[in-house]
Amino acid sequence: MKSKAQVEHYLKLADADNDSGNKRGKLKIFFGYAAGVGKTYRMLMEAQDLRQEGYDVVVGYIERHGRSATEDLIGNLEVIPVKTEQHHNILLKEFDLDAALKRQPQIILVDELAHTNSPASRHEKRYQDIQELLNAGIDVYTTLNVQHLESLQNILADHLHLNVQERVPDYVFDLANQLQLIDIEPEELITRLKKGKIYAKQQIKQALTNFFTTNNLVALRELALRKMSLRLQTGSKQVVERFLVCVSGSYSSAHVIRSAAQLAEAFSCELIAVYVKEDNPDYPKNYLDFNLNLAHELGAKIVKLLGEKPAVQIAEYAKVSQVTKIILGSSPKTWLRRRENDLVTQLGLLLPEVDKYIINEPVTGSSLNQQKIKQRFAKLKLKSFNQNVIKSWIIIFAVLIVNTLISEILFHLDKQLINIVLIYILGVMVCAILVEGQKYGIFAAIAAVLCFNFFFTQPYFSLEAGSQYVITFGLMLFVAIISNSWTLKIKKQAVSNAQRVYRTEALLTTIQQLQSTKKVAEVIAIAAKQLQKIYPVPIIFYKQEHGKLTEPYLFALGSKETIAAEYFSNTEQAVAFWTLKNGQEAGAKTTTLPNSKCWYLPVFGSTPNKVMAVVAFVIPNKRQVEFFDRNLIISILDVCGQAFERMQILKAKRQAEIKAQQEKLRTDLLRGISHDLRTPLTNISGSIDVLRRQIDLISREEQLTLYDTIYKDAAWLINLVENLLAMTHLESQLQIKQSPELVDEIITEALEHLSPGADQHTIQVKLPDELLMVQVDAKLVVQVVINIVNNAVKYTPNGSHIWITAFRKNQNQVQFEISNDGPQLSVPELTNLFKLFYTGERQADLQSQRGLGIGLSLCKSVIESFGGTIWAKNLEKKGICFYFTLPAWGDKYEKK
Amino acid sequence: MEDDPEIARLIEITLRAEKYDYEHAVNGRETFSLLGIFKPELLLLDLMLPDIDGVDIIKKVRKTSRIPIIIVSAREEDSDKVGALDAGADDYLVKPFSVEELLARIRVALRRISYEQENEQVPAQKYYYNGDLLIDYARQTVLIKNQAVHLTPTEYKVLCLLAQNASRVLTHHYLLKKAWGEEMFEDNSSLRVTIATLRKKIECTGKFHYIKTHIGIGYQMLQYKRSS
Repeated sequence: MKSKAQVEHYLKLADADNDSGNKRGKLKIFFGYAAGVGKTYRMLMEAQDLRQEGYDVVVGYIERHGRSATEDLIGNLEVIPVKTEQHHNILLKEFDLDAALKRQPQIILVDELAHTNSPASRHEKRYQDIQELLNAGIDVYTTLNVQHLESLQNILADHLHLNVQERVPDYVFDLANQLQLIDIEPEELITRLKKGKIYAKQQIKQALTNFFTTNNLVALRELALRKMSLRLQTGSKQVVERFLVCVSGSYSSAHVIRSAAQLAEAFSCELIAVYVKEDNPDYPKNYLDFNLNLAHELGAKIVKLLGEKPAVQIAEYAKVSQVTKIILGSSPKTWLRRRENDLVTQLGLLLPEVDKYIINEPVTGSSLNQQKIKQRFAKLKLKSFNQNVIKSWIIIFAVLIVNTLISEILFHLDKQLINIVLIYILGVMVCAILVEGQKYGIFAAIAAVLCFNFFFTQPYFSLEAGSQYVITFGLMLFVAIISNSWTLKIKKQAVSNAQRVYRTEALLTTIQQLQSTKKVAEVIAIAAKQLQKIYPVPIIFYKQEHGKLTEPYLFALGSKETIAAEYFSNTEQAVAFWTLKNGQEAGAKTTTLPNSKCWYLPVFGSTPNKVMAVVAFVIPNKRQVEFFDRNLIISILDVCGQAFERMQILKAKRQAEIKAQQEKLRTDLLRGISHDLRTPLTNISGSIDVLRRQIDLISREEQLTLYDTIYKDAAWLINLVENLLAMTHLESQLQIKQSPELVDEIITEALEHLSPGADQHTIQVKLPDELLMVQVDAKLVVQVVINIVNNAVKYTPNGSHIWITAFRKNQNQVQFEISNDGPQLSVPELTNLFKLFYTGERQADLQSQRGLGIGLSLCKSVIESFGGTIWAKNLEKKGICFYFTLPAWGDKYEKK
Repeated sequence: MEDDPEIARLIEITLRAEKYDYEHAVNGRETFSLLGIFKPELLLLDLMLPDIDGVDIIKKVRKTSRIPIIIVSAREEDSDKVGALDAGADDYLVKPFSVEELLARIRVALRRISYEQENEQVPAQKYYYNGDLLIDYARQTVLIKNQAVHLTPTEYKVLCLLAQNASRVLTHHYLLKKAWGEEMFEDNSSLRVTIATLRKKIECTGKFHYIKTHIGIGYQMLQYKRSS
């Protein structure tokens, strides 16, 4: 019964799939609270059922744990062989993602969602493999234990003292289209463990004492059930509330973020993580990135605000974006900072209508996690620290020495102590400008007071001083410290303002510049330039064309620099291609193919999932990108993607226009031909009819005229066919074949194929002694000459002259001239001469001058297809001359 | 040999009017049997036959006979003509053709036969006569009106090729292969230049036009009566 219901459900899913046309695979998670509850077993049972129903089910990876029952259940299911890798003398077995993608089954089983892949794998985590499978349209069945969920880590650490290394972000969990909870009583689980059904014998004892305690299992089960019931509640997601969590750069903020994520899920509402940018030197920046990443993984939207007063910024943002609840961390502060920085109090005043949840930040909480983070970043901190510290001290001492020297001079000039005090205060302010950090400022202030005391108060050169100076010293110290801190603040604000302006400008200029571009290469160049302003590293662009990537566009930092080939080697391009196919970032700094040398980002068009291009940032030293920069980069790429799309649409439109034009031309041509065929055909058939029936009644002379008519009309039809053939020839060939041809031969050939009546004209050919060779398709050019000469024959009275000449116009061109001494043309006739179906205005009155008007238009097409030009002019006294140029054949032979 | 009855009749009428003897075959098989019985001096052949490809017939005929073959074809593509010429055909006519043209081609082809008959006593390897042109193969000299003309080795080679195949249309491909060798295979320009200079040298009298150009196909040596 049960399996049938599942199948039906599956079918429903499949139907939904077909309806929407969405090819993404479905994810089903078998969810349990500990190893051994039977997730894999249940998954295999279902796989067997589906196989029976005729589905294409394949085993991608199953953790066997030496359990024979598992082996039995796999039975006759198709198994994709695992990849084995040698890593530090251990043979690692890994799921073979590429083999699975190649096999392309309907459903694939991949055990252990939380698994961390071996270092040589494409993705760091198995859940990324699974996402790729889903993207490829394959349904995935997988298993997961509750302790691997990222959002529960703080609970696990605080209450069960468990530190789980293999974690799965909650958004992956939320991706599941189906979730099946596998649940057994904890006692039963322990019994099963003791019987050796879960682990091998030697591990049982250790497991029983470490993890499989009744206490742990009960707690984990509760967590799993809670997670499951939450999911059921939020199954139909309708966001009613919006939570805002304040993220700081402190490591305890992670705790606040996790709690906020849990709350948000429980209330089934959207979570926004807000960070107010304020360079607080107390925290290394990397904590901030870590926290923001965490918030992102937990499904929060990241918003970064800029400003001096966090409370005001947050309050304003909360009002604008209709936040209903604010979640803040709170930790005991030192008495000095409490009033100033108490965000809770300030927000209380600014936003009385919004509820605030205060989460206590564990100050002394030295959980393993925090220690790890601390260790990870201590090194980084130390490196930059040493350099900066030395530099700062040197500056402070230098300033103090200069101060003292100036004061000494002043003191000798007029003994006014007040000036000296002011000079020292000025020195302290200079220090504040030149040196980062408040503690240096305070030191400089104290040092300034001491110097003043030592050098300029009686007794000189001693730190002893009369009681009359105590107030002076106090005031001096006070003023120095205050002016120092204010200078610092102004400086900070100026820097952040400048950055903000710079970045906004970068985005704006990009948009402006992109709007006026018409070429893909230009868009890429502009985007690369703007990206390098924000993130000065070499950039490689790959444009998508017909689902494939083009040759890389390289943008080194300076114009003289080049990008080493290793950054766009085949392996690197493969990563770019992966990004293109999956629409996700990859490469260095990410968890997908992290061993690559570049960081790859997809460029989306306006429709999601449609990757227009891929950008690679060459990051040799694994530099970090700030979250804000990242957002800006993505914004620029979005603009760039839209530009690509706009171009694509334009191109499609242009092509459609051309096609429509061609269609029109074709119909016009057909109409024209059928119309113009009628006259000569009527003539021919009519004449023949007369000759056939009444040959005895007509005189011999009349007979000859009729024969003549037939012959001329037939010749005319033949020429028409030749022109039409030439036209199709020209249209069907994308690349016209060209070979060196002698002008002499072309003209001779043309003169052999003139229409009847040409012998009534005098045709003279004059060619230079030099051998003229043109690079053309001879047959087409012969047709051009025939058409022009026939035209001249047709429109000039009998006995007229026609002259043909050709000469080398310059190194690259040969010019032909075909002139006659017939009547001249009017200006509109001259301008319309080469248009299709233009037959001149006097067509009506001269019966013999009918014609399709395709002859000269064909000439124009032919000449232009060889890169030449054609034109006609009235000659000075009488007659017309046709001119055309053709590419001269490169004279490599003559040089020999 | 022509499979279209109307065109066949037109050709028949023309030939009868010009007093040529003729037989008409409608397919490939009949062609072969008639060739055996009738022993014609010239074969007019349509490339599009119901049973055998025209090119195959040419190849087969060429195995046993030097009889002139003129192709009549409606195929527009140059490659078809070139294929037939390379297979051994002498000349070609493209539909629509005029009767005059047909007769001219026939005359040209038959002139070769008559030249060969006339000069039976002259060993073909020694001399070649055409109008006022004389090639002395043994001495490798060319005379126009008994005046020696200086030719470059390539020009001489090309001229000999044309002379030995007088009245036949030789394709660019064939000439290039024979006169330059395989490596110059696609260098049409040198052939054009050679022909142009050769023509200037041997047609200097202006009386005879020996070399006829077939655009996109090749060249043909026209056979004239031996003058004096």
